[in-house]
Amino acid sequence: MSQSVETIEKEKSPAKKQKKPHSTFFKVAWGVVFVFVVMIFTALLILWNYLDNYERSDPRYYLDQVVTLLENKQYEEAARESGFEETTFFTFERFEEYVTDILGDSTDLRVVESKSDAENERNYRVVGENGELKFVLTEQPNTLGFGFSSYSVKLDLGSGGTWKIVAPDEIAVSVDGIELDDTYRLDEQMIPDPYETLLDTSLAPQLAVYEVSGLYTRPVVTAENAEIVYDEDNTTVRITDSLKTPAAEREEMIINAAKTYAAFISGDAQMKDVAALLYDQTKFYESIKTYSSYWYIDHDSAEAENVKLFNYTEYAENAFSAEVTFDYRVKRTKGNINQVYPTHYRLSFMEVDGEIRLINIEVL
Amino acid sequence: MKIQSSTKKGRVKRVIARTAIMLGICLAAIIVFIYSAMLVICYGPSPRARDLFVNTCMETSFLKYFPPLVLSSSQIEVIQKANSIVDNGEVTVGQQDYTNVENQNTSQPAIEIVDVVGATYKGKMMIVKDPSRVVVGTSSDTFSADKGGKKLDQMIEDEGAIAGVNAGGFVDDGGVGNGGMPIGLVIKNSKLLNGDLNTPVTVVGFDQKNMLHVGTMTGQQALDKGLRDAVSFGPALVVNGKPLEVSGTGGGLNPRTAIGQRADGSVLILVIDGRQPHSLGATHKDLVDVMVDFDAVNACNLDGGSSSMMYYQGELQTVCSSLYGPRRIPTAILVKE
Repeated sequence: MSQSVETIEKEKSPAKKQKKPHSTFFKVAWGVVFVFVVMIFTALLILWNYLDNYERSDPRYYLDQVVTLLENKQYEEAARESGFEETTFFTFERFEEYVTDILGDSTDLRVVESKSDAENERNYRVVGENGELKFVLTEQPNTLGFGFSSYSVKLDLGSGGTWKIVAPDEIAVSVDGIELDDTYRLDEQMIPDPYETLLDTSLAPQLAVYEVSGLYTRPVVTAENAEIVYDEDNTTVRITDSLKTPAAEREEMIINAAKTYAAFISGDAQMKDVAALLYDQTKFYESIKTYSSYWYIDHDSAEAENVKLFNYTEYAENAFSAEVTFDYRVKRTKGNINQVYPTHYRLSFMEVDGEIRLINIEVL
Repeated sequence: MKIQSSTKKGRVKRVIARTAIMLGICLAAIIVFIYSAMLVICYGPSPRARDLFVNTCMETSFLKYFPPLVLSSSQIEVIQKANSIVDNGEVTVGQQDYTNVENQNTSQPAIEIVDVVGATYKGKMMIVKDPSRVVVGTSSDTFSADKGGKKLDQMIEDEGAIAGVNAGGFVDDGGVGNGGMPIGLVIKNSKLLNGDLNTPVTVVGFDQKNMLHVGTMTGQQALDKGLRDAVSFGPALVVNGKPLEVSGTGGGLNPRTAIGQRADGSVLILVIDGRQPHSLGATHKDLVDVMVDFDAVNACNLDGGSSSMMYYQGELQTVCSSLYGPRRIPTAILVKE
């Protein structure tokens, strides 16, 4: 039995030798499999990396992060991610208020892309309950791998920019709740329009000019008892102390001046009557002093009816203007002439040498 | 002698077996790589790449079998829904008269072909000044799956046209359809050649005064609007001067054909190459952007994929993505001489 086993093993041994090429082949085959596994793994790693960069090259990748923060009411993080920088006039609280006013309680915000004229910018609108927020995403070229570009997000909060505020000297002005002091005041001063008629404009009441920047939206300007007019085209706010009512004596002075001027035009008063009211160092005086009335309706009497005074504005303590309207009725018995002329003037006064004088009359 | 022969046979068998094993390894490696790559695309770091992959594949007759290998049908549905044009149901309104456009604006050429290039696509925009020259061409007045469609160049020749692009969709099982049966409405010379009167579909067509109408309507509504030539496809891209809202990627990257009209009446016919190294293709969002850039007031997507092509003066202006060359189709947008 043992002999036969040996014989069999001897017979087998050449066969074993014959299998050697098989082993080499399988070694090679396994080697090829290994190489393929390594190649596939490497290719997948590269693909993963490529896709990661590809994903981050989409502007929505960045915007969606901000939108998610807004949906989760994480306004501080949203402000940071959307390039918001707090300024004196637009604090984070104001930002939060602004955003919540527009988005309301919406937790599922809709994002809509809008057309952009700039090649490296993409514009989006995030639509909330009460309006929409505008975002501008700017391409940062080649900032990612594989030549992809990332984007920076900026919340477009509107016109903002720098505004000028023109106000009478003595009026305290606040912007977005912050009272403007001298640090916001420019060296330049402005003269109210009616006083540009003065030959020596240094006599005119001066208006303070403030400049505020770091605004994201139109500034909210407040000033006590003052009229505030926003001039969007020139990003200027004009403040006039026009909510006051004139003292009776001053009101009478304005109305009398208006009536005198109307009477002068209709030939019912002389130049000396008007000149008695006027300050003579003005362009207005220069133009009127040689005026000759060619009033062509011969009449018996003229009178002002329905006299109204309004838009009384003080530029300084003793510099003021007001508008006056009335019906100027001209009568003549002969021929039964009874003509009414609707009249509308703005008269401006100021104190010169201790006396209030008429500076300018505009026919409106 | 016999022993030698059997040894030879054994060697041959061994070589064949080893070759088969090596080929098997290569094939397995390719399959494993493709499958793993699909897994990385669908579950990796880029949802946008996933959406683009799914939409691109699902819009084609052949590749649509790939996404279901790695995603469930509900996942695919969600992705498709989140990346599409939002149809707001708006239909072109108004009645512009473009019957005498050819006599206006003499500086504008009668037909102009402009290159259109985007990040992932290249294509051609044909601008036809006179909309009365633009009509629907058909392979036959009576469509039949047995008869098959016509190649675009043949249709152009048969109809005596100078240019043309593919138009409406057609039955195309497995991407090997013969282009015999259109899908949806086909109106030619004010006659309804295909589709029914009551089913609403997205329609694009010209009325008697050559104004392009776009929107979802039934066959009856299309006839009531007085459409002289129309086909069905979609989505609408621009309606009444307003681009439609796009969610996500707005579809996959594929060859595209679209038609639009400017406020001055001129017709915009766009063909984008796709599925090729020089041009991967365009999404629906890209089409909206291009149409808006070209000042379209109404525009609609037409059938795309391997059917997309543009002929002008007997020359193929675009590169057809079909490996077998231009396909047979049932309908075309033709520009008459």
